[in-house]
This record gives sequence, structure tokens and C-alpha cells, in this order.
Amino acid sequence: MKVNAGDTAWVLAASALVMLMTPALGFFYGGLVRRKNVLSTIMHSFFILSLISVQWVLWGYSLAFGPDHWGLIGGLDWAGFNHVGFSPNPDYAATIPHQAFAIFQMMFAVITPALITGAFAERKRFKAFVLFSLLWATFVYDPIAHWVWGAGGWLHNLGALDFAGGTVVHISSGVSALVAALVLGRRLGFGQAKFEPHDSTMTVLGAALLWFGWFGFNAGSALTAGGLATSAFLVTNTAAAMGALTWMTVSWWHKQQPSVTGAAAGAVAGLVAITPASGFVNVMGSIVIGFGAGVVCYVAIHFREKVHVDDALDVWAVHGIGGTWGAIATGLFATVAINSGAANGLFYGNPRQLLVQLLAVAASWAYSAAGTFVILKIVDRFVNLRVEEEEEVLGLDLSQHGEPAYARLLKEDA
Amino acid sequence: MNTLDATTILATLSCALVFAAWLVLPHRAATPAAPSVALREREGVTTAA
Repeated sequence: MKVNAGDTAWVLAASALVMLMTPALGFFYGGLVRRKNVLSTIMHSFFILSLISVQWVLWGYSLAFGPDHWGLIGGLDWAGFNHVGFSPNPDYAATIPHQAFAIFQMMFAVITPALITGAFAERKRFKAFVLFSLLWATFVYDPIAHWVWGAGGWLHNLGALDFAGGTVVHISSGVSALVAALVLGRRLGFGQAKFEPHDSTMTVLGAALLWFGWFGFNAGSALTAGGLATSAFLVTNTAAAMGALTWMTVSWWHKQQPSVTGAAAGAVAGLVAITPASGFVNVMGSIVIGFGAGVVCYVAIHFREKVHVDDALDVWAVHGIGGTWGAIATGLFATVAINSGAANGLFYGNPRQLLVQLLAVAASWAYSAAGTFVILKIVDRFVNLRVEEEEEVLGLDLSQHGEPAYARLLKEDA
Repeated sequence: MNTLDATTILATLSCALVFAAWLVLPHRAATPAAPSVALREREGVTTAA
């Protein structure tokens, strides 16, 4: 098996792009919270980047991609990156070193639990967050990644299409976020005061950097530097743009003014939705997917507000619902004209693909919800999930980390 | 590839809907809100040069 220099260079560059997405997410979320919690929110992403990088090398990669057991989980044969060397593994990527594939996948494993942090922002105890993240990556992310992407995974064998993580990354994190928000309960003052973003410029910058990194996420998932990566790049950009335009327009219609943070959120929603479809749909399909994401995610946020669930930064609405829409849309718009190794969707004469996608969505929802609930209850037995009331009032930057984000403004916030 | 397949028609309709909306959407004038933090003139900076 011969290593291709161009493919390897692209996958390593794409890994670096995806790596950037996690701190970018920290800034996206950081701008949305109140000033007294911005540093702790950024820390969630930065800490997870470090934590899961180590977990992935030690056992995460092996559980997700190692030799299959019953279609459910990989074995520990590749723990410590044992047997993960410079030769390609044809089961995953035939033209790049196995290690390059494992590095690329590491960045996906990193960002997924970081996405959940938006749901429990401004109230979760740091120690509980550490334990939860490690357990969640091991017992929720790694198994779902194996089902969908692992050689021998049961959804993989059924023919479920998920190019870059609609089910594995976005449904799993979005649904887990909803469960976490319900288990932790609402923030103090939720429903009485409106929690405005403390720095929308930070949020827009974070969204722009996410958009940039997403080219690695989706186009990198081609695992080769060629036509498929180019197509994935194109549809990713188009769906993001259409998501931003649609969300802004819907919010303009709903609230009489075009929202800036809405446009940023819409771009992210479009990116989420195109993720599973990016290697299977043409550019016209990506326009419909971006449009749908802008509508359904906006509606989901207002539904979430109506039922008074405090998913602080709307992870469920954007990632859970956006990922669900993207996974279903893949079953509608996939075409072998883009990816001859995949399958057509309903609109191209293959209704079975839509059923397989619905099954993958249902399985990801059910397992993520149950797994997250159990993990939170276990962690809660050892460490209180929530900070004390006075710590929440003081803010997590000071109460959990002893560092204010903006020293001059300390008095105003307290 | 058929240029007038269902996906293309849906994409065209989606774009038309969004673009057409901009022609008719109202624009509410912003209500000026009192600044929550008192604005102060920037203090002079002394430099060694």
C-alpha cells in the first residue's frame, strides 16, 4: 500500500483546520455568555482539546476504529496507538498513513464533547465537567463513531451515510446537550432576566473561524486531495452561506430586524446540516440543506424557549436538530454522481436510503440520550454537577478558576 | 445530470423565497437604549518619547 504525498498533506492540513474549530467554538460560545463566565466557557473547549487528545491516543481511537466486536465497539488492540503506524490502513484510508487518519479523527473526537458545553454553560462545576467529558467521550462518542465509521460497525454495514459526522458528532452532542440541560436545571434568573451575549463580536469571529475550520472537517473527510474533497468544500461553503441568509431572513421577518448573531448562528446551522451530506450531495442539494437548516434550527430555538429548557447556548437546536435534518436530507439528496462509492437518496430513486438514515438518526438519539443521562447521574454521585448558588452568582470565572476575564470590569459584574 | 431535477427546483425555490423576502420585509427603527455603562472620554496617555 503506497502513501500518496498529496493526500497525506491535505489530511494533515485538514486536521489542523479541524483542531482550530475547538478554540473557535470557545470564542463562539464565550461571546454568548455573560462577562463573568466567558473565561470558564472558553476553558471548556481549551481543556477538552487537551483531555481528548490524550484519551484518543490511550484508548479512544482503538474503541472507535479498532478491530470490531459485534458491530458495537472496537477492541483495545490499538490502545496507545499500538499498530497505528505509517502504513495505510485500507479499511479507512488507502493512500495516507494510518496515523494521519487517526490524527484527523482525533480532532473530531475533541470537538464533539466541546459542543455539549454550551448547554451547561454558566452553571456546571469544573470537576464534574472534567469527569463527564472523559466518560462521555469513552462511552458515548467512541461507540457511536464505531457504529457509523468503524470497519464492521452495524450502521456502517447497513449502509448509513454520514460523510463527516451528522450522527456521530452533531446528533450525539446536540441530544446529549438537551439531556444535560434538563438534568442540571435552569440557571438562576432564567426566564426572569434576558441573558444577553456579552460580546457579539467575539461570537461572530468564532463563527467565522468555525466556518474556516469546517473546510477541513468536511473536505478533509474525503481523505484524498481530489474531486470529492473539492465538491465537499463547495457544498460546505454554499450551505453555510444559505444557512446564514435564511436564518437572518427568518429572524428579520420574526423580529423586524436582521440579527447579526442570528446570521452567525445560521451559518453554523448550515455547516452542521451539510456535514453528513457533504460527500454525497451536489451544490443544488446543499442550497436546500442550508435553507432547511436556517428554518428548522430557528424554529427549534423558539420551541426550546417556549418549553423553558435552559440549553444555554442552543446546542440542541443547532446541532441536534441541524444534524438530524442533515442526516435525513442525505437520504433525500445523495447522488452517486458525486460519490460513486455511496448510494442514491430518495430524490434519485432510492427510498431505502432514507429509511436507513432514519434508523441511524433514531439510534444516535436514543443511545446519546440514555448514555448521557446515566453518565450524569454517575458523576453526580461523586461530584455535584452544579456549582453552589453563590458561586453561580459570582460567576464561574472567579468561582471555578480564580481568574476574571476582564479585570477592569470585575466590580460591575459582581 | 438533469438540470431540472427535483433538487434543482427546490434549491431555486429556496433562493427565490429568501431573496424575494428582502423586498417586502419591514425594517423597524431601532429604539435608542440608555447605555448601561457610563461612557467616559479616553484619558490622555503619557509616553516617554
